[in-house]
Amino acid sequence: MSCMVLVCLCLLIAGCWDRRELQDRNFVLAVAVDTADAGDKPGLEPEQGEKVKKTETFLQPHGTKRYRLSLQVLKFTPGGGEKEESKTYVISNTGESFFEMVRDMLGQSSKSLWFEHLQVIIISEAVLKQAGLNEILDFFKRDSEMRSRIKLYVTPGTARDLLEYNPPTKEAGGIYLADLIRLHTRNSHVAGSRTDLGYTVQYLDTRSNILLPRIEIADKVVKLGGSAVFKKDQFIGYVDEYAIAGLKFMYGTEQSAVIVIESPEKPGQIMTFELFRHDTRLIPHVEDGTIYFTLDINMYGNLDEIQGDIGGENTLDPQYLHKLEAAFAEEIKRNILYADNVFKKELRVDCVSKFAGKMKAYEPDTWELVKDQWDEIYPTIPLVISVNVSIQKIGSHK
Amino acid sequence: MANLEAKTYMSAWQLAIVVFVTCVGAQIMLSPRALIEQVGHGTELSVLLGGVLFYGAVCLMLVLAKKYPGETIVEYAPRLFGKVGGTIIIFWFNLLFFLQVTQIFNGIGKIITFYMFDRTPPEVVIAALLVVSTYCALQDWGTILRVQQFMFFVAYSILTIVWMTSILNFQPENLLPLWPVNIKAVIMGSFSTWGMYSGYECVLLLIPLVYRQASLSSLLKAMGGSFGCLTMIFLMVIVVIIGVLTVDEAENLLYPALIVIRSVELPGTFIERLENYLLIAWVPVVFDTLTAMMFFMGQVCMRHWRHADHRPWVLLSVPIIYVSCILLDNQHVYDMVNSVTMWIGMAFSFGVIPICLSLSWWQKRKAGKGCD
Amino acid sequence: MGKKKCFKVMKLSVSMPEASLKLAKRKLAELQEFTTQTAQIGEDIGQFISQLRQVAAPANEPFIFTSVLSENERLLRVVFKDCGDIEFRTFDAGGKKALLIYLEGMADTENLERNVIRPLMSQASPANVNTENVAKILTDMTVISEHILQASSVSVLSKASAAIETVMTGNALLLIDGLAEGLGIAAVKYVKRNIGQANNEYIVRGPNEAFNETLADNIVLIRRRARDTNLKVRIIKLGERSKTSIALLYIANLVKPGLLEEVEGRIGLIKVDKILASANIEEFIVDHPWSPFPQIQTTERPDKTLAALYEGRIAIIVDGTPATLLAPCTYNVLMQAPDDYTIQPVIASLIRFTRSAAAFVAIYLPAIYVSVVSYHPGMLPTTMAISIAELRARTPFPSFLEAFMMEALLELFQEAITRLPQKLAGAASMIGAFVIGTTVVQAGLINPLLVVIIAITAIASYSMPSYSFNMALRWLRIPMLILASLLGLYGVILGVLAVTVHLFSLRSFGESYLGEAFNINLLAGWKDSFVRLPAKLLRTRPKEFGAQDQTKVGESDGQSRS
Repeated sequence: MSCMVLVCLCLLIAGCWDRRELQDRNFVLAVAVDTADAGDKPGLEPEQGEKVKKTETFLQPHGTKRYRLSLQVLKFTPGGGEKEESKTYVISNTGESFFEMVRDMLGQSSKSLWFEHLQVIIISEAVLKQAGLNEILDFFKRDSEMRSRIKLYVTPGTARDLLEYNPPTKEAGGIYLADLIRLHTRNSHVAGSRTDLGYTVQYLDTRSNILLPRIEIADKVVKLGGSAVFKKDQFIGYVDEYAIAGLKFMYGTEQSAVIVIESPEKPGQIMTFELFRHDTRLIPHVEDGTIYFTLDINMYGNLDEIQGDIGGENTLDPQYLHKLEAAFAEEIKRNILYADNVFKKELRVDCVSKFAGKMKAYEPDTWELVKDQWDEIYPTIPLVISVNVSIQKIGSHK
Repeated sequence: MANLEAKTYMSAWQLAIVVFVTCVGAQIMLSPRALIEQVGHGTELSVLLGGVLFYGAVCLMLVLAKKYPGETIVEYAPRLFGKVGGTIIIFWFNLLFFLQVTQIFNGIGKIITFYMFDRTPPEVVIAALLVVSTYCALQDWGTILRVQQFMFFVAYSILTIVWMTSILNFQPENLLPLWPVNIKAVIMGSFSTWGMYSGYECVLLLIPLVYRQASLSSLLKAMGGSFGCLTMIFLMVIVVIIGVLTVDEAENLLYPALIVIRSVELPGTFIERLENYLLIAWVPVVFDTLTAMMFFMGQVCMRHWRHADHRPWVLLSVPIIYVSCILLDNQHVYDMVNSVTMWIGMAFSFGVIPICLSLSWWQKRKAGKGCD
Repeated sequence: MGKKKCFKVMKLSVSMPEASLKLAKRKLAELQEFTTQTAQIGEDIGQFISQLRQVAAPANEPFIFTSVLSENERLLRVVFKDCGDIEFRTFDAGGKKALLIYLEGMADTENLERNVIRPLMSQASPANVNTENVAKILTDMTVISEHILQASSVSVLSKASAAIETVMTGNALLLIDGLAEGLGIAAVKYVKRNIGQANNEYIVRGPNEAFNETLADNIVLIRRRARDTNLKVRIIKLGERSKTSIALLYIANLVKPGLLEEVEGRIGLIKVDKILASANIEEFIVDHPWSPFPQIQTTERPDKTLAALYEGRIAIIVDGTPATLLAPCTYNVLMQAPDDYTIQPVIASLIRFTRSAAAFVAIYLPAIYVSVVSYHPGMLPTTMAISIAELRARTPFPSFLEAFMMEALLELFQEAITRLPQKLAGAASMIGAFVIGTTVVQAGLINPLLVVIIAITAIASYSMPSYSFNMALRWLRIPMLILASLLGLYGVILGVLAVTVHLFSLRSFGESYLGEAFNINLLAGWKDSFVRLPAKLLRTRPKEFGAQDQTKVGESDGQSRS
């Protein structure tokens, strides 16, 4: 009994190691990774910029400085501050090891930096050209403070500019950037269903080809669209929104999509179909030593827009609707073939190794035989597509 | 004061709950990585096989215990093996509990300090949990039984609910292909699941506390139910881990169960960082395993040296446990101790118990009919 | 200026011997010794006086009754010396001198005059023709009480201590010259509080009578509700000096076997001067006096007492206090209110569940707040974390210090409200609302979220049906706060485990305090613990109390068949 009291006393005397009050932590909301010579603070003359860069950083005795890490830190405005001010500010540092840079940045920060609410990591294309994704993300995947659902973006310009962006809704910048991709289910131009830190680490572990969304900023306009394609973890290029839409149809990861066609009867008249529900099956088949994939899609949705005169057409007529459905199906097929072409022929990359995964799951014996040459075999695999569209509602107007 | 109602006896289903609660301990967090690394795709089958295997071991133990009603192994082992042999067997039995307790403390120290705290030393975490476990192990069996029942209904349901939120990220395709699997690896893996199922040896100590009217068949049925639930829980854990992460990623993560929960996002609610919730729900689960094992250690020592009270032995074991779990400081030593414990445990369950059974049969035959 | 005259300094005592210092010292010493001796003598005299004040008695009997009335009277006057409220009424009864002794204010003088003094005095009246029988009758107290006295309750007393106790409890003592016995006549009437409402246990729908301070009235309240001959009342006197009556009530064919003997045994071991409140007894008979949780239930409602008796428990009523003890007691019992049984079962189950949740909140909410804000702010959603951080950026204190301060303020406030006189209560509540609610926040000392949390905690702890359980919860908050400020949520969960283990280890007369909550052997007990099923399904008594007859449908005549 007295031993227990002694132990309790020791606990009480020793003190609490991890007590750090909520307001004593600097919330880091976004992180930007640039090359060491990019990512200057905007609005400075070049020599001033050089001086700032030199002050911000530390001496590295060996090796070269490779990265420039910028952190977007939250400002507290107790009781509502000026409404025009930004809620965040940016600090940055250059170096080689991410952890070393973060710890060195404590020299610029009055409170300890705290990453548990980190929302987004933005990586610039220039950095990806000089290093693989694995090297950049290793710090984030090992640290215990990081969440699995941190969003990852690739930007063709300077990543730091996105951190400096002050959204007009006056919310904190990092939260705004992370929320941009939450609507990917409705926007078929953005592939965002498995692109956050947790899934990216999973793809790195399974040696799959990664796909990350692309974000761009130009004069106070931020737009998310398209994707950056990686072969394993090496960046090889961007794909446009049309290819991403086709990719989503192919993999069945969309929840809502918009398909635009020209009317089969009256060319020049635009018709739009909104997808609500779909049933997509991508199945590998092996016959006589040939591998091919079949893609069966059933789509159900609404007719959302007819630009033009509907007088001549009766949208309540099922025959007319069937014609439209066939046209929509044709367009989807075209989209998918375009995406397939882009990924198979131009980039030669099995995006997120979906096809490989399907082979492994459904045809494991064949997979054992071909898995070492998958990268060469993949571009030759034909895809047999069949699409079926069903228009269920036409809206409140005929 | 006199206990006006005899509450120290339990029914067969209460014994099943005790065994269930003692077996599900820290291993659901600590061992999946090694298991998945060893077996790969067929880990579910390993778990199932392990369940069947160790249920067989428990049945053997029940048969043996029913031959000596009213006595625990500490009392009849010297009769079977002679004085020296009996002492060795009792020491072996006690060593099993001790090694498991040490590993569990060490594991929980590491996990809690890494995921819930930053700079707190693991010794503090271990010491705090040791104090609370000792406080409970010092109580009498009636209290511990009720605590375990309470934990069974409250803590395990919370744990299951938190764990089930990970279904949001479950991709069944990661589990395919179900066949073919590496048969040899599956069988070796089922031996490795001993770490998950261990704790059932306490049956040898607890049978005298079960109502005498409980027949062997009802005990077997109750144990079957208990092992069924155990297998289900472990299967759930392993299947969800492989389904959410893939086998490749699960091999690379130190504590895949936590990363599974970390990947769950419930937008629109105020619940974030579900791994903290899982850890909080997990600490009582570990606590009741630890307290039960410490109590059993105290009981074994008490009965061996014919004392009346297990409490001094529990208090005596506290510094020993603390020092030994501080000693397991690196992963290599930990893994070695883990595999040593596994082989010791398997040898006990599948070596010593059948020898006990055959010796007791032989002795009874020698004594002739009419003597019990 | 010439030769200086050399003055020789001499002591004063050479010429005035009384001024000598040595002499003075000696005299002073003598005086001091004299003073101590007189103090000693004074003490001795004081002891003599106190001994003289005691009544001369052999062993533990003050004295023995003799048949000479003047002797008895003299000795009784010595015992009751300086008790100005004891009346000695001498009168003539059939030629013999008789003495009636009673406590003024506690005896029903009208009753005594009519039923005792008049019949006895009329014995000597010439109108009575039975003069020769009178002499025979007046030789035996029993015969007198049967033939002459018209009082409803008499008892013959031969022991003097019993006689004195009789007088002290308000009865009258009759002594007749020539008889060595006394007669105690029960004619008690004194001022007491009327049956009022239950102050602390008010229910919405149902009876609202409460016990008052008189033992007889309380037993009447219970008897009125059950016409059961098996309801037994056993009266014990406790307290060396105060000799307070306490009553043990139980149902003879339902009470747990062995419980009555155990309770009586424990009460018999109590050796104190006085019993003023039932808490004095409670502390002596519980199993775990150091635990903060109440192990005996107190109530001031007769319907609750009767329900407890019918579960197989024992009620202990103490004279002089309305608080009645019910033993044994478990967590289920403390969490029940009579309201639960008078409203619909589904709603009652929800309320019961809310009570348990409130008990949890009342202990752990401030600790959870401190641990989440200081140790694990990652568990808050980002926008909420930002707004809390902005709130806290203004206040200077770390979170556990804030929580302690608010706890202290809350405790102070609760204590002040209890002690306040009626007139100030309104002003105090206004001050409290302003101080705690608004001004502290505006002064930048405490952040508003903490005020909300403390308010919720306080309200949750007030919803407990048992006041002593409420106090236990209040006390437990402090160690939980300390644990949370040391080890965050891990500390809180360890605290939860420690409190749970403590609750399970408590035993109340052999019953486990919390243990029947999830016991799978007692599945029938689940019907009435965290939920309340409709009364049609509640057919058995709680097994934990070990009543002899488990079904609630009794025998037709209340007599046990065996």
